[in-house]
Amino acid sequence: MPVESALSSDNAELTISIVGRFDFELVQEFRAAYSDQKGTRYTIDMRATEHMDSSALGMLLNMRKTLGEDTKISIVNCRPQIKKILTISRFDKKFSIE
Amino acid sequence: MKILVVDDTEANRKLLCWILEDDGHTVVEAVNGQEGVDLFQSESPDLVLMDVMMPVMDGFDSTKAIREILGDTHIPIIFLTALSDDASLAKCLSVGGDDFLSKPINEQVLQAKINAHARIRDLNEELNKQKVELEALHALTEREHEIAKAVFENAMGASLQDCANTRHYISPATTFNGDILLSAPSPSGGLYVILADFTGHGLPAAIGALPLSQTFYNCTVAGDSVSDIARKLNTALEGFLPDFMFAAAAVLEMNADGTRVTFWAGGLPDIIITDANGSIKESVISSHMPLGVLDDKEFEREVIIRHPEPGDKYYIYTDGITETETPDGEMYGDERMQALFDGTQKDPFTKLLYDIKTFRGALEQNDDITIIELTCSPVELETEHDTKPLAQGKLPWSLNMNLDANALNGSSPISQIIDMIGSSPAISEHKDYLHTIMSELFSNALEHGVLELSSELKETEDGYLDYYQQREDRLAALTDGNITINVEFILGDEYGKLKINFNDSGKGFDVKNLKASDDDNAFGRGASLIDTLCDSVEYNETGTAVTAYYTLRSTD
Repeated sequence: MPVESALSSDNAELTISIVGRFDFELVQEFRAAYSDQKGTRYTIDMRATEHMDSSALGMLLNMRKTLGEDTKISIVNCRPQIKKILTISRFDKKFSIE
Repeated sequence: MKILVVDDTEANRKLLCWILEDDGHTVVEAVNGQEGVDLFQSESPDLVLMDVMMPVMDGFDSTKAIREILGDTHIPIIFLTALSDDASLAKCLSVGGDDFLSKPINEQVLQAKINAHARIRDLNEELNKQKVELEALHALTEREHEIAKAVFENAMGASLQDCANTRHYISPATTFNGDILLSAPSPSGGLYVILADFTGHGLPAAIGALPLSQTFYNCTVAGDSVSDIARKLNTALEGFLPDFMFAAAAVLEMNADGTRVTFWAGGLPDIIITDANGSIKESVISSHMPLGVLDDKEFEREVIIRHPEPGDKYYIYTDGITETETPDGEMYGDERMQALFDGTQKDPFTKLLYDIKTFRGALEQNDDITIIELTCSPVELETEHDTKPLAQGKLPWSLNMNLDANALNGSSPISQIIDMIGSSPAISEHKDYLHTIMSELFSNALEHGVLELSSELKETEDGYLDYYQQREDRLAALTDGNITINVEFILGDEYGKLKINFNDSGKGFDVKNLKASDDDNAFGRGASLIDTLCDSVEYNETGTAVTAYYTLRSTD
């Protein structure tokens, strides 16, 4: 599965992992990942994400809108090229990028 | 049996010959002590009957000489003597005789003594044989251990190399370590650490290290998550190890900034977390079963996530530390250990190691001891940089692709194009950015050009889904239309350059509209992404053609 989500042992943190290409083909799956399960903090784990395009940026913004501005969403373990794309798009203002 | 009879009196020798040969023994006769020694060497008898008083060399000296020749091998020597004083009889034994028999010889006693000593000799021979076998076996084991040790060390890689974030101490109780401590960088710049303690110690425990380390390194290269690594390790060990063997372990990952620590722990002593001053913040129980116990279906993969402050420290260690005993059998224990982390110690790590040693005193270490200290700060790995500049390639080339409706309906051609051009040395390190640029250009040409989809749809979340649904529908129904892609490699003075051109058969779109978007909009990000990553981007007036230039700079 290219999108997997798992709650931490205290049920507080929902981690969504994206494997391979993060693009429009994951629109449904990605949305389901944060709608089906709820946490108080969210983490997008990009360790296995090889590429992302602007449709993925759109999906992340939709997630932000749905969960509200106050929910903590972290994007973690980005490879350098992914981090650059996020930085170029000024996503560091809306997400905490580690 | 071959029996050597040493006696100067012919009548005695004949009598003995008669008795012994009658019992089925072979007899060799010597007329004095010297001849006895000579015949002993040439005939190698199984037993010696020795007279005491003889010319040339008496029985005492002859016996001493024979014992000298024999060394460690045992051949019984029985004295036949007419002497009966205690001193003489004692001398028979002290010079190396095994027994004595008084003359005149009693035939039954002689036979009984010969049989008894034959038994002793057989036992001795057996013992000697076993000793030789044991020595050979021991030598073989030593050699095998040497080989195993070499394989083991190679498999562990260069073992653990400390980086700026870690300090560790490893002290095996035997040649082989049943504790394994490995670390590896993660693809996103973070750090993985694993500490595992196999049941027992020595070679059997160390064997489990092989599947463990191989699996760990495979996982870290792939950038697996902590829970995946733990699960894969569990599967590997469960398959490899016998039922009674398993490994208490902790798998930990720290992100590149040192602001996030994720770990899985099973069967190890509590993990101690302190602040920068060494004052304990939390001690975390290893709540899971050790690796290699549960099968994959039952395996619990839940991880613990912490967001440490800069300078926080994690201490992971094996029970060899807390179970260190004094000569009186008193254990070091958790309380003594945790008391070190009260914020008063300048360097609790070093203090702990010193304490353990003093606590044990003169006692030998009886279990493997391993501890690692991890400091939460941005990960600094000591890596070697390959500074050799990449060749830009000497020949210009270009690549053309004309995609009709049928081809567009398949999967995106971009990955294939990147694979083709990415094998060129100048391009390989730019593959990821080029992938992004070309994916964006392709999406624009296909979605806004050929399929005539409008970005405005994407303004709401439902519209966003709708947009991609329409994309799918229109693409499936597409009969006309095409996109041509042209990539050209242009030689430069220092770096080569790529000219990327997309042409589509659509009606075109308003280029100005494409670029207008603010931070909150979920659409219109592609164009600005391309702008930033490329040197320049030019659209034609109608928006049906776009040309982008990308310089292949060295990224170091």
